[in-house]
Amino acid sequence: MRKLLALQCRKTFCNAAAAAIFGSALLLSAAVVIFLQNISGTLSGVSDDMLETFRQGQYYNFLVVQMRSRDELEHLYTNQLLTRILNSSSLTVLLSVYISRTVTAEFRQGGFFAAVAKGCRRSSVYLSYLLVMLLFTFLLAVTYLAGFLVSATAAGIPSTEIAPGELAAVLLTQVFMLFSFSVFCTTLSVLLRQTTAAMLTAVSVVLALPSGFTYLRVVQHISFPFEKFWVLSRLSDLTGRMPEMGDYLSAAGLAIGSAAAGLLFLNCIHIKNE
Amino acid sequence: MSEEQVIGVRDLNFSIGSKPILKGISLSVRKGAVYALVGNNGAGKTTLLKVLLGLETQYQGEIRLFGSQELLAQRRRIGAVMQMLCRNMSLRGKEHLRQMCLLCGADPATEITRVAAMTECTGYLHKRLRDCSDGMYKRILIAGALVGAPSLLILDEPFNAIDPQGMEHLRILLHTLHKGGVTILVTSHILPELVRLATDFGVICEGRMSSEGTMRSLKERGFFRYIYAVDALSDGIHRLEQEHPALCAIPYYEDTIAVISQSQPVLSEGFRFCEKAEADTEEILRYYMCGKEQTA
Repeated sequence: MRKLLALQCRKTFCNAAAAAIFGSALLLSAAVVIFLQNISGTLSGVSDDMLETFRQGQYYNFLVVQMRSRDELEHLYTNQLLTRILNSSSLTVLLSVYISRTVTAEFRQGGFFAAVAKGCRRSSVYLSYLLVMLLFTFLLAVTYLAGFLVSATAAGIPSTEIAPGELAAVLLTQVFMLFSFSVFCTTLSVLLRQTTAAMLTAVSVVLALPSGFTYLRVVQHISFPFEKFWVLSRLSDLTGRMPEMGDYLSAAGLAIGSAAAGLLFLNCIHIKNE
Repeated sequence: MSEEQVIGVRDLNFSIGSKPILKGISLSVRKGAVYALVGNNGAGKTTLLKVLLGLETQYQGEIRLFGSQELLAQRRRIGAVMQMLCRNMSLRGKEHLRQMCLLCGADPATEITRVAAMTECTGYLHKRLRDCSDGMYKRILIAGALVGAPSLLILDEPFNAIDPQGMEHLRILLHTLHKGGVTILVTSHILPELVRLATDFGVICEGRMSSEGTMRSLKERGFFRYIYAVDALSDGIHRLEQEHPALCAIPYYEDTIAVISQSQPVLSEGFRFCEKAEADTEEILRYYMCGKEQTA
């Protein structure tokens, strides 16, 4: 396992693409800050009716960030933005798709074959891919957030006191979600042998189902008794509230369940070159 | 199973869905042999190699590597090049070898130089795999398989896409490895090359092992080549297949057909007997590849 981890680290981190991705994350974070600053500045002259067109349920949705009130939008605070961006499932989904894309490519391009033929366990190879890719994406997220903080400070966005517990709780939940979504996307990609189709399916499931539940509850006032047990629905509803014990358990259960299913499935899959 | 046996397979069955691919295969590769596994397309050669390498797991039967059933541990002593499974083509040759060194726990500094010199691919290790010609690519893959000095080398179609000079070099390389005590299991459709190289043969036909033995034991089976002249070659072959489905007929020269058999067949009018000669190894392999003895 140690040899495999070293190999995956080398593959993942020792190339120019990795540096380019980290650089892009920094640029993107700065772009997001500028975007939000512009929104904040523009909002003072926008009518209430116009603002309502951005409403989705309890929140105003502005692509990268959701806000609860006009006041929040007009008085941006760095820590609020940070927790909302962390809680936004879009970041998790994008990272999951990236992980599944990379791991699936290795399965197709013989990296997996080379390791198994050299006597490594399938499960060890699979887990080493996932762990290193998770480390990579975690560092990417940290880079993004650091860039965001620096850009926000440079842009003069005021920050209130950031509660470390809140940030840690949100981060932990996101890591669990990231892991489970990654396994889910990867298994689907390998199973369907069509990366794009699989990723689209995964993204649809992750984004559409919880939004559907929210729409039915908030707009149509229909609620389902099983909704609160639907893990994705529960986790996607984290924006604007602190994670609870139930959220941790849901995310952990999802992570463990999908990892076990992925391993079980990959243990009997035929390895075929594309 | 003897300890001198590097690969021992007994009654191996493997299916994909409800379709059986390997049907009760048994084979034995002795230490120091160059074992040629031959068979037509879709016979099950590559699938058998994939099972041996752990790439297919849902099989029934017994497999021993180096006399042991601890397959995971023993696979570390195997170097393999599979025809169907390529590497990430954006890798440079050197990066591929470095990754193989990491997997084998070998020192890249010395090992890459050693295997590159053996396969004469030092000159293009800096190239990306996608920029290499088929021959160069194959040499780099073989170099990767030699990392860690494996005791058993498994090569799936190594002669494909290699020019005559490259083929000669590969033949010399495999001969040198064989002399150095490495056991080689090789599959190919290029029978003349295999006949020059191999000491032992196994023939797979439609998922079954139709024959196995050393070159000498194959020759001792008393096969002959009976040459018949026909008016039109394709018509003659067609008629022979219809009238005598158990016979193995090969187009020989212009309008002549060679029938490989242990006794002279009685053919209908239109087939004019010309000569009888001892069948060579390639023809005996062709006979078993046809699977005729199963229907006879």
